Amino acid sequence: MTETNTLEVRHLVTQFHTRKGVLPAVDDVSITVPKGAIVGIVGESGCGKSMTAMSIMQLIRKPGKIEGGEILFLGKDLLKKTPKEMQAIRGDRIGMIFQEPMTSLNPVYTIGHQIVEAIRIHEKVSREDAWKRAVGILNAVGVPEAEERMKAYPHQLSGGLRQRVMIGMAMVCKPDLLIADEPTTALDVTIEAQILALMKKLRDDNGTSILLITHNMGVVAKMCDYVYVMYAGKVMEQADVFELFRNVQHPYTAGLLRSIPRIDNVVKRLYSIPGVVPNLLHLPEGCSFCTRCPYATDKCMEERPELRDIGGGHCVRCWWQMSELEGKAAQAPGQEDGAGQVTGQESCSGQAPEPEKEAGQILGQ
Amino acid sequence: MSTGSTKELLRAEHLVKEFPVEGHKKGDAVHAVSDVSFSISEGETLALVGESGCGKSTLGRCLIRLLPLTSGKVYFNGQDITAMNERQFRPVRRQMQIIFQDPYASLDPRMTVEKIIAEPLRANKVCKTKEEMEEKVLSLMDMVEIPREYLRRYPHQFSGGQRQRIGIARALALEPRLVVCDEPVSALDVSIQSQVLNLLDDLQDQKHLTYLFISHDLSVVRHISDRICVMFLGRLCEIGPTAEIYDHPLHPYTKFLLASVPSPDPTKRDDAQPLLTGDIPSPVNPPSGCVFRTRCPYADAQCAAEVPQLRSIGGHEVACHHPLG
Repeated sequence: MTETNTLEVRHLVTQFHTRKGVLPAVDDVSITVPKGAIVGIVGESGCGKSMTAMSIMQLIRKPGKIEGGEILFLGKDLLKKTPKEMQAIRGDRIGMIFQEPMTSLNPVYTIGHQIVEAIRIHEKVSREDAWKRAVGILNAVGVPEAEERMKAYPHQLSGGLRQRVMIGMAMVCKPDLLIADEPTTALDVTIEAQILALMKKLRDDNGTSILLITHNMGVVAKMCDYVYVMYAGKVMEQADVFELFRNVQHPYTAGLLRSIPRIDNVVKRLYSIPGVVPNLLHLPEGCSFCTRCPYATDKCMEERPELRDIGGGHCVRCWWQMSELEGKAAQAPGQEDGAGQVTGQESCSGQAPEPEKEAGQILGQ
Repeated sequence: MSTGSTKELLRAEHLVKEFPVEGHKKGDAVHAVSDVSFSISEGETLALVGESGCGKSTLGRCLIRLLPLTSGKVYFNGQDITAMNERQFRPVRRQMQIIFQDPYASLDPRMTVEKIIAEPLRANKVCKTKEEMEEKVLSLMDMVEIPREYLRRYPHQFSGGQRQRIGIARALALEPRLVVCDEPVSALDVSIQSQVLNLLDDLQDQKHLTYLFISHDLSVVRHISDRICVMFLGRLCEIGPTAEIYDHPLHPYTKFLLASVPSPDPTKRDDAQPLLTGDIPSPVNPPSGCVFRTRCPYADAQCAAEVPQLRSIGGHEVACHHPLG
């Protein structure tokens, strides 16, 4: 199993020790990224998706601390590496791109300087060779007039070009894994489409595995093979992307999908999940979503559900499944809004034919 | 533009807004808005969409005189507001308010919710007594569903969605007729975004508001607007009823813009979908003729030579020499 998986995160726990108490930012998260796959982590702000990525890179700072679990990268546990060994892996075997390309590039050095530096930290090559390779990678990520742009400073480039430079820098050492944390959130939609297409192309050409962190369900649907939905530090639902969108089983994921306006399906009134994301310091006793869930029962308030496999690698952290809950939907609060959006419900939670097929394909890659 | 049956609330004629560029040679300017004309009918939601830097926010601010226009005229309720002085404009300003994008930056961190919502009331001397003022503030809080007991809290004690609700209460305190919503939900999480959109919807019904809804999010715009106005680099590309624009875009830019929105349905993936290449040109040196031609696959010599004018085709208006069939 290990050889086919670039990354296996097992039972990762990252906590922040604050004066007010212990904040479980990442709570028992397990994530698998098969070789050459694009795996998405999706959730709202504060759900722990970025913290999971930072934990994998071991970029967690005090008062945060990785308290437990394993992070197997190509079969070796990253948590057992020394800081020096970790530094050799970051930027070389694992590349990372962040949301805001302006703050992740150094404003006082040229683009060329920064890419050459990234190459020469990890490989013994001459400055000239590194420069040539840097120009090559800028061409590959679609930066026009790459030779010229090497001498430019970050502020002289547009947002889209900066993100291309970031991707180029992350890809220049041909990493096995690329972690992309909201790579297109700061970009315009036409530029976003370009960057997403570029990331897919890089995956197809180099076989790089990608862990894509986003809040945008559209980006997930477009890019990912497999998806993890996080809420309040926990994985709530995980499935193959086709399975998830066709056969959503967790009320949170269902609510999320229903509350996004869509250009291909107009509804009179949007569904909205009531309430706000709970404070991680004061999580409910039972399921962390129970305070906002229209289907919550006494059991949900009292007992914490575990992630369970409902078949074909589709896992849900819920005592119920949407397919069971839908039956009593007529009385459930919040459902009354859904009256006029029959098509929307169908596409989020229609019938569930053969989930195993696609899941098998992905894992078998 | 407006369908004769509904009353026109605002009309913009040939609006131009330029910002001088310092440090460049004299006369250089950012052409933020160039020759834009349109109208908004009472009770409708007109959306202004476009990518960052296309001038949509500048246009919104110019319309309600938060920014002075370089040239052009704005008529509100039949009156030319561009010709008014401050004193004459004051009663009109009450009728046009704005909701800002960033709920973290648009509320004064040193003011309580009570003071924030009461500020427009105080500035316009709406309430005669303290009690009347407090009652009014409380009813506004009820309206946006902020619990009354939070009256004396400060902005940092609220979540992003709640802050945006406070911003909405402040904008509606003077019972305006036109509300400019400048990216009101783009800073919010998905689940909170739908709550605020529904609130805006309800308030429009209750108070017969007219919205100018500025957004870059085409899915949100499709949901909320009656008509859409697509902008590129300071110019109008296309304007028309929402369903028309989404189903039959005539301007190549509109078509590419719509195709770029990732659909939340993996079965609709299309990796072969044509993408718009290149970046947005500089608004300091916009291309000659049609500003979109440098990114447009259909551009020819005519597009470089002549600025396309808005013309009416099949229920909407489009500024393109080669509209899509």
